[in-house]
Amino acid sequence: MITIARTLAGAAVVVVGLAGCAYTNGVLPHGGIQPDIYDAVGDILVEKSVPVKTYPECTLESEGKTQTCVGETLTGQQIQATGDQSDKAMPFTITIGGQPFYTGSATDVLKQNASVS
Amino acid sequence: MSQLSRRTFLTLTGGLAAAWALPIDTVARALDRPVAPGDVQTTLVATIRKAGQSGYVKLVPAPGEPYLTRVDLLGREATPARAKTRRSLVYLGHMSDLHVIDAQSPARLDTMAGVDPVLFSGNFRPQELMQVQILTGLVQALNDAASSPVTGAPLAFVVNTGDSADQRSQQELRWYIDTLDGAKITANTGKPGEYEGVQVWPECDFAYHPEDPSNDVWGRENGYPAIPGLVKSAISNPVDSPGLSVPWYAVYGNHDANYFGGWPTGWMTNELATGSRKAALPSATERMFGSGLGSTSPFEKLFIGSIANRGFASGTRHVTPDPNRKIMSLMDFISEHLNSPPTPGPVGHGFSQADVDNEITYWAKDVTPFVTLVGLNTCNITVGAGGSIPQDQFDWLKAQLVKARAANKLVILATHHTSFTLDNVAQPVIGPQQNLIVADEFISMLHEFPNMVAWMNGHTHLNRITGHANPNGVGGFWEISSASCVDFSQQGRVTEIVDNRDGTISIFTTVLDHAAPAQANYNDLSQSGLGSISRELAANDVYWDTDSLLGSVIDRNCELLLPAPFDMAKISDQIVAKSQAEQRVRLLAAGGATQ
Repeated sequence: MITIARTLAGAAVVVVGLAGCAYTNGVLPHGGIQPDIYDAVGDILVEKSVPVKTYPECTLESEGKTQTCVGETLTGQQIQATGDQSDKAMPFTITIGGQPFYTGSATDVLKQNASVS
Repeated sequence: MSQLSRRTFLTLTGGLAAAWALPIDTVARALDRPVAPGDVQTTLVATIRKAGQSGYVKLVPAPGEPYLTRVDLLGREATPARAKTRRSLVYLGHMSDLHVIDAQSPARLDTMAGVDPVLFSGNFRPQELMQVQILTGLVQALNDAASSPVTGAPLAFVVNTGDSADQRSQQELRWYIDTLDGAKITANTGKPGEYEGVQVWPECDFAYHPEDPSNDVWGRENGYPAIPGLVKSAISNPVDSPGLSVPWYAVYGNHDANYFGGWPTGWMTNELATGSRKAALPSATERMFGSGLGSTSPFEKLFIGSIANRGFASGTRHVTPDPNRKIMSLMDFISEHLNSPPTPGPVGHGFSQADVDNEITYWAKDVTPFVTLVGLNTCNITVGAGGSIPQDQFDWLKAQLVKARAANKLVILATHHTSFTLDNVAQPVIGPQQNLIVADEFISMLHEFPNMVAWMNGHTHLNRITGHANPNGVGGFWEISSASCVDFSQQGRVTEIVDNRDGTISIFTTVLDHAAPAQANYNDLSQSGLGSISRELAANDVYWDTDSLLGSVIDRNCELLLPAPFDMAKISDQIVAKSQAEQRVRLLAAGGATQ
């Protein structure tokens, strides 16, 4: 009984710690979405002065690997971004009206924007 | 006060002077002064960024960020003329995820960072001793922003969207309430003037040791600096908080409602929290739980605990016990908010004694004659960090929205959880159950009410703005999530709703850094100096994705447009002017800005 109780309690310790963390349980489970690609797409659209009607919202596809983000410009063109959140660099591309607009690393974009140039 | 007749102005001036015990000519002069955008130190003026992109980096001042206009819910460009015609309706402050920490509590699971520092990144933080200093800095920043940077309107109130205490400790809760109310606080428990915990115990190499970090993972692997005297200063020097200059309101966060944000308190009894043994190693934490101290069963505590107390003390250290470390109950949270002075007020900060008596954990307040603030409890106390809305609370909210709509009142919603994290439908195994509402149904209901314009929350420690469009694509409401006070970027917000008088309203939301300077000086261990050091330590925490916590530029300083939810002329200029005159005099009495 003691062994079982301790085993269960030990397991509980692990889960308690996990559950208590707003980051691991709050940020990541945005449907499993890492925020970096969404952030980088928004930053690039503003940096490049794209007139946006709807900023892209992202969803996760490909078994938790690929993010697809869809928005719209003020002229009615679709903004589409795709990125790979399983890769540490989080490579992503943005197309506007089906035309290539930007390719880069979300990690690099965020690193750059969090620091002084 | 051009919107008021001379007679109304004089009557109002006299009444407010008497109510706040101020000289009538002082009040008259303050109210007669033209209203102009406040000279406010926000991230519109200057931001704080990293000085480099790799290794341990310092923080430095950086250029401000102008407002980005977002028309996602308007569906068209905004009219340029709106800047000339707009009038302020309400201007408020927002803070979230304060995570005031009693780092010396034996109930703390800090040792689990030694098992996996990424998985348990919230269990130990190198800056965790300085939360009262940080919170005081945010209080100061909000007081400094007492006049809106957009219109000059006075700050009406501040809303705190939860996770105020980190581990459901009554002492943590008290420190946070005192900081917001205004007090001198020595953020120490246990032995007076001495820190007893993982940041000075050499065997705890998972923890940052400011005196000499050369043997811990922070100094050895991540370049954290030696800052002699930091620990002593943080726990010994009283923190002098001016308190907020305006009324403030609070809601529950999962760390206020559940032990360590995810579990009912039964998993951690007061025996451990108020006791004299603190784990220094992960194996000791596991043993302490296994020994029955973490159990609710009296039998287990007696039988297993008695064995454990004789033979399982290795890996623990003796600490000075402190009864103030007790784990609070759900109603203690409200009772402590009721134990609060009338200014800045309101006593209870949204809650009332009737709420304690009836175990009600949510509230609605008419914060102006034309704005209702609703605070929900979205925490699931069964288990888990995520949230949901019980059916009875959902029905109550709907009734509040119906009432506000009928009275042409705007509604601002305050919750801890975001739309992305209202996903927890865990039900108790024993006892009453009720239907739990999650994000989709909740948002769908809110869409029935165009007067529900803004939803303030936190939880994710990220700056984030989400437009929730009505099913037809136009109109809806804006969800505004604030960063935390504990992890980088340690920011809050001020937010103002304005009527553009062109059939649209705008919500200006502006990110605020706490008042400590951007650049840390390791020789400055003053209250403000510790604030700067804390921010720098947080910015370098390799176990958090600190670059993404800032959010995108589309999540920070923004003008968020919406179609006017009703004929805004139904809110008369006179009633707005009167409301703002009251707020300005309240600030005057509190010693804040008065323009």
